[in-house]
Amino acid sequence: MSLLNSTVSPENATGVVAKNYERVKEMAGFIPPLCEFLSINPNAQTANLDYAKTVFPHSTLTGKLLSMIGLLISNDSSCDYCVDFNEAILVNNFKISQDEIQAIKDNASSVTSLDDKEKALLLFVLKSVKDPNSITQNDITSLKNLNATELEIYDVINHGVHIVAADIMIDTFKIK
Amino acid sequence: MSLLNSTVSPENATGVVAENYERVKEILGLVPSTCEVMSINPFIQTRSLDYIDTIISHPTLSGKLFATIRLLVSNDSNCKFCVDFNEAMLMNAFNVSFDEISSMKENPSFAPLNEKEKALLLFVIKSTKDSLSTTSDDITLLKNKGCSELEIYDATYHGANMVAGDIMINAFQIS
Repeated sequence: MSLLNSTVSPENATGVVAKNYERVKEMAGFIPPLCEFLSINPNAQTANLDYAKTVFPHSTLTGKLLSMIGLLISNDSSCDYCVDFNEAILVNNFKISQDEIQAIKDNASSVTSLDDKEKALLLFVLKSVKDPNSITQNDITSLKNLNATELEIYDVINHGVHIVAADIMIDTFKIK
Repeated sequence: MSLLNSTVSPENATGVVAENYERVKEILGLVPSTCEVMSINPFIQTRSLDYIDTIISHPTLSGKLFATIRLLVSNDSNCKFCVDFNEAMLMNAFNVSFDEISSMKENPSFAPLNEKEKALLLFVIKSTKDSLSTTSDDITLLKNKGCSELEIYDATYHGANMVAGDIMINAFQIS
């Protein structure tokens, strides 16, 4: 399942790790391999679940936006695990068609199932991740003109970089 | 200080954010502007400080290794804020010379670390530059140098988090 062996399987889990597996089963309905991999460091596993709980659901941003961020950043990182994971969420939970998924993988601005604000946030996150030094005050002003709050702007970028870091871990350790 | 305005200054902080500022002052002696920007989302601010606590109290890996990882990852990301911050930490807290810092920025294998931590550093740099390029041979090499899987995991996680932090800092132009 990965290049590291000292993970704790759900069957053998005790204490914090067992509790974390219960948490993730409640949230996702199953235990993703990434969560099992994180059992190597139970503190990191707990922190990641705490984070996931604040994002899914987010107080104002849709799960569809957050999944699209996950999909498109991971597509750029060639992280097949995350691409497949987020495609499945978009198809099953948000009824996004395979055609639209392919279209946004080819060109993110072709997205049709987000409103103007969330589409702008999506494009902003992708720009930030690809070239953070290219961001200017004009980008922030444009988002605010579409009624994005600073908390929303902060949270979407935070989610984007969370995906970047996760992609590095998943690709480095060949998590499947 | 950044492209965002709705941060809470240390003077105006209350509740969790005020507690977080006290925590970071105890750790670093000051409130870095990155911590102040995080006040936009107090949960993320708290989570970041919790993570810093685990790094500072890491049972086996040195603070010098973690600061070196941050320096060299941020050097690759052109994150001047983090390069300056970690250079200062390496010089002041770990007595690394300016010449040693210049050398390792040119070639990470010159980092003044023991053999095991240097191998971890080079693995993290490889992972953050091209995560698809790592193989089981890399892991075997690290284990032969005495690294545990937890150490490999924690060092890589630190590097990946640094890539993430650099993007936030550069995107919001935190200075």
